[in-house]
Amino acid sequence: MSLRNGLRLALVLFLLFPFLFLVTQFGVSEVPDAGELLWAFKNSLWQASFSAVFSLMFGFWAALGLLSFQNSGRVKWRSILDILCLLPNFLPPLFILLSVLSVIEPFPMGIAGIVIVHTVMNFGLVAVLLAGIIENKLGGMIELAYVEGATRWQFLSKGLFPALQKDLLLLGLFIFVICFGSFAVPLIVGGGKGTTIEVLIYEKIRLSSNWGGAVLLALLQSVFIFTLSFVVSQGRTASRAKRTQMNLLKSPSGVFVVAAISFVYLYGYFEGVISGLAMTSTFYELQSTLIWNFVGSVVLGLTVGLLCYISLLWIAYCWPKQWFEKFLSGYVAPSTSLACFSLLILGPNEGFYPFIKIPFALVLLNLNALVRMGWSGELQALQSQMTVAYAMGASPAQIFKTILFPQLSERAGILAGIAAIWACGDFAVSRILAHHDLSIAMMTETLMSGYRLNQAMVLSTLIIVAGILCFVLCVGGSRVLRRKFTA
Amino acid sequence: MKHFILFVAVIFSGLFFAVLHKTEQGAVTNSLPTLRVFGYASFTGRWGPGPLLKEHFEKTCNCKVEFIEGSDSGILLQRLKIEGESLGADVLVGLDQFDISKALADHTWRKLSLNNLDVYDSVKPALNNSFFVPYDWGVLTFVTRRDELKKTPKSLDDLLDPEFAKKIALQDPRTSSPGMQFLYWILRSKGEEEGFAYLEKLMAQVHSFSPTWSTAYGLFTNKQAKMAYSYVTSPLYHEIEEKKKDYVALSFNEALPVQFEFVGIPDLCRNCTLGEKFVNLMLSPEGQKIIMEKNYMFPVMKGVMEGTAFAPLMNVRTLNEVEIMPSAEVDRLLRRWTEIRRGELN
Repeated sequence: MSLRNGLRLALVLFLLFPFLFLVTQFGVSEVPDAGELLWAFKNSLWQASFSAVFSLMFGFWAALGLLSFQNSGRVKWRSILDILCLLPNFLPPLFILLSVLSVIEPFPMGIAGIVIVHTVMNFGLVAVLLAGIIENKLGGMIELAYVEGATRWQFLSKGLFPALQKDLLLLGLFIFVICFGSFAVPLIVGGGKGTTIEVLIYEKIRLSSNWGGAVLLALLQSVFIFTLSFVVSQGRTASRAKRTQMNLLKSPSGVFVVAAISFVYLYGYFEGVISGLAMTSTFYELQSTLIWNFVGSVVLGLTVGLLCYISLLWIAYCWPKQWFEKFLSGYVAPSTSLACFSLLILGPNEGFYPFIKIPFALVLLNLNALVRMGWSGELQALQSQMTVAYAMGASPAQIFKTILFPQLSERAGILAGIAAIWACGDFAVSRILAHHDLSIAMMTETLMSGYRLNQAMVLSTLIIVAGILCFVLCVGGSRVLRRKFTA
Repeated sequence: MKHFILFVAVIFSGLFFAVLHKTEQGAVTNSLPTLRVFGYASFTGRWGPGPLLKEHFEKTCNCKVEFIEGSDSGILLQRLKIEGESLGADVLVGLDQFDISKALADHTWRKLSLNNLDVYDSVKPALNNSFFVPYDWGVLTFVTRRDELKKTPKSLDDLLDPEFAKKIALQDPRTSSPGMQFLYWILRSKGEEEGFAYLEKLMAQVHSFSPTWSTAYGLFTNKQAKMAYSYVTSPLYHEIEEKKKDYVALSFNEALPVQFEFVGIPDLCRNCTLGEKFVNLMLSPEGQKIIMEKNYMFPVMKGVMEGTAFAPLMNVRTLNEVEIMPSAEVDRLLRRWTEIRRGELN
């Protein structure tokens, strides 16, 4: 077996590890109740589909707003808008939920409510990713259309949408997968439609200790997403192009969308932070713990960022291979409880083991999201360059060193930075695998579980600081590595 | 290039080992035996009773106490089942009456000497097994803000008044212990058939079913809901910690349900004698005072609460029995509850 095949297989086994391990440990003996399963499946499908469509619509509109800030003098504004867009993704969902509920009154419970909250949570991520895709892939086409006098609508209908059809579908699938696996939001605002597959998995574990049943549900969920991804991944993504001005597409109304949706989630959040500030005296005696947990958040974020950066480049080194590509585009991570329990059972949980297991669990749960967030598209866009290099006799190592790494390092850094941000905000994984509060996010969750919601909101501002710090370090590090490597 | 990677590696490793060293400090610093107490985060965390109990215990035990947090009691029991002896659990804290039968079915526990415990009358029914002892208890009811509601509900049927439509924050019984307590309260007060019929009507009144108590209570304190299902002692937290007197626990014509929190010692314990001593500390006057003040729950032992702000709150009518429900029965009731939710229109 060649080195690259070995690496491919190792990565596939790593991603499938929770399924394989739990099936061998518990077996699958019980068939789930069909009525219950269909009901949960229908709820998951409806809410995830609508959430993906609305996130794409508002995300696209917001992306046009982001494209208005391209000139060097306006980069600062663009960065602020990017942060506003990404914030809902790394704050605890409860904070976003409380804010949305306090602005939209009366709030429609049921599918509509789930879709609203999911759209607020995900529109910004779509906007940032879509703006990046448009800038990177459609630059030349936009300039040409602008010079030829095309109207915006003509360009959108005949240029942008056909060219980015697959990228948009993949992005839609990415949001669909996130929402399909959502747990807390459907339960709280879903009313009678609140029971999803993820809730059933939790029920099987928590109430019935039926691990076999839980693994089977997770497998069925994975098979469904896998099948869906086959349909979506037909066709090609757009190729890379030079970055040019975006006059034809930029839209100040998109900035209004970002501002309006940001208001929806920031209003209630800052209200909570301000009322929590009056009670921060309880933090004085905990200064040392706060500092150490902040360091813990940064270390956790950086470790996850580093592992994700390595994993993404690992995937790039193993690219292209049809079965490997199909696997990565169709794979969906198991639920958090299943992934964490498989790691919990495996080996000791004392001493430094949680520090190894938590980052590995977070990579396991987030890597497929990063691949869907544009990594596979980036690799496909470089495929023609790789094909030419192979035809000219270049070795995989040479191709990686001279073609892939210089062009992909920065993008890998950005995605690793996003994974680091998620790691800084995580408490679900850490709560199962760690023995006590190791990070600010865990401290925040502990505060919430004992009446102190507003103090938790104050503390969560440190999650934002740690997240931004990790993101900057990941992106900066990847740039430095690229420069040093290619020098 | 090599220098850069080396520089980054040194900084990163430095931070990593600093955090690791800090975490391990005090865990196993010398040859003293270590008592491992498993519990939920709000018990073992900085703001819970855990750290003060540890401080008191370590003064006299010639040992170290290590707290191991789990996300909830269900997950802790699962860990005990899966990891067995390698888990090294000496004491398990935080099981409620709905966890007990599962805990007894899946594990073996050490008998505790529960004689001569001078507990409140409401606590006596909870001493009906010799493997678990309650260390605190709480009475559950609806909490609201003073003068915010035009009418105050006095009975379960009053909750069906259109005045309260979409204003009640509840917990999902599948994921939350207070949520299960609410379901139990309805079924005990009205009988099973009538209880489920009542729940069907109540669905229209509920603002949301949250996965945890903290989420439901957060929705209430953030004024999304006018009332939340919580503890009669909840208003006391706001009065003492936030100096706010506008929260009030409602009294009902129906007897209110009681939630007990139990502690037990698994048979697989390594430092079993220390475990028993720790349980004794939890039941001692000083331990009970710490638990009462930090958990905002009632102590089980007499003589601790008297003269404090907690005492008057205990004078509510509660359900007399403590039923240890078999897991299969809990599952059956939850299935019926899920069926009702399935029928909701929204």
